[in-house]
Amino acid sequence: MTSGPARAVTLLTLLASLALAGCSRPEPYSETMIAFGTLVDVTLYAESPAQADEALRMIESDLQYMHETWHPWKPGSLGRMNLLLPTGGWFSAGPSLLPIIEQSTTLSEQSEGLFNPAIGQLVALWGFHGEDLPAGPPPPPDEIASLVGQAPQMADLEIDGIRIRSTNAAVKLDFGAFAKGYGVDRVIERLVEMGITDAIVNAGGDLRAIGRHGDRDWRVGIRDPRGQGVLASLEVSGDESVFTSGNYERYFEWDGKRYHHIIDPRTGYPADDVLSVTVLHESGAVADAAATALFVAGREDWPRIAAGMGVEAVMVIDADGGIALTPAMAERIRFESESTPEPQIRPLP
Amino acid sequence: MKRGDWMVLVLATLFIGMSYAHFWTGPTPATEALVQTGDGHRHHLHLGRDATLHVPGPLGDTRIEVHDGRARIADSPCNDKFCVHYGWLDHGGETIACLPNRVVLQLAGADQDYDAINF
Repeated sequence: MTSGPARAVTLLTLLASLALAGCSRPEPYSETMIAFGTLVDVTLYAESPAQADEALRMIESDLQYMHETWHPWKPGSLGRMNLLLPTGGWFSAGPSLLPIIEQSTTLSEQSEGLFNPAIGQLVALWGFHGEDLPAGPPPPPDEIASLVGQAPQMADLEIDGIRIRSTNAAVKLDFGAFAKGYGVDRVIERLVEMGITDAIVNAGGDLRAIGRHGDRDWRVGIRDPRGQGVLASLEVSGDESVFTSGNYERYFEWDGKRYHHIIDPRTGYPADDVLSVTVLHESGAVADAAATALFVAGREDWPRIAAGMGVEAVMVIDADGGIALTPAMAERIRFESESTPEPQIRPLP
Repeated sequence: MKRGDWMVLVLATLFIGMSYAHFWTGPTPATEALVQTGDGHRHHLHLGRDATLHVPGPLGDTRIEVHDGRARIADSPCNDKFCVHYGWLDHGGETIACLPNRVVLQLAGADQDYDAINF
């Protein structure tokens, strides 16, 4: 094997083998499942079908467990806590609840109380606490005013070790604006522990992605809140979450008026100044809480709240269809239609 | 290098190039809608052929329609009808679900425009 052509063949065979060796990289696996009371879409790269299956089953069972544990009104850790909080006495909290309470308390303070998981009673009064949507009518104004007047807040909770109590009898916790983000964060942590480095977990439209989709970034389409189809897209990689709060997600109509599920803790009524808020942030929990807080803040105040919560990439679509972007979001987002109105750039204070 | 060497070089380069194209680039556009029901049944609908499909769920039948290369949930026995109001799906990877009736409609195809839809 010393002749020129033979050497060339050997060399090129080697090169070809090297070029194709990449084919043994991890394969993508996708599955759509119903968990966490919503549709969960997962794509991940795993070394083998067995590893992929183990990861997918883990995601399904973990999300289901969290959904049951953190349900505000069903028998479970949070359901029990909500029965005990109005007594004002000390009691032991379920171990999985303290971290979620602590992180949401911090985020609630940063949001100036606009993200407020302590208004569980208001959410229930409107009927947005169950799996089924309320049929209307809206609750009596005096009952709304009474709950708003008692001003339940996360700061009303006192924690001593694993024991907790509320100094305000109106506090009932509902993590509907937070649990999905917090839960997706936990699932991503578990995937990383399993050695999975490339995955996207989309829980009912809110997602966190790690790594990349093969040799390109993950591509995320953002639904148009005003109608059908996709408004814009984002490429995400590394470790990022994309969360949107919209008035089209859960609502009922009564006397020709739409009442949606994002309640302003200051008024007790659905916030109605914007249609949707999309937040891009590393943490799903922060993105989830911020999307809700900025939605409640409305078009004037959202930049201040975003700055307070430490989120930089935001898109807000107001009730008149106007689009506002932070500079960090403007760099990342691409609109899919040429008829999209020119977005306004809103720097954060 | 002799002429034979060059020939081997050219052929090998072509071989590598074609292998790359075969193994690494995206396949053809989405041509299929996938319908999943709560009892684990999966139905595949060709997007090139107009069709109507009724699938059963815990609340009753959900009607799926394919028309002009798009698909939608045309009717559903659920209360809020979010799935019906969503309208037509026309992007690869786009998904809509009726949670109460446990029906999922998804446009399949490996050239998906999006890996996930945020809403």
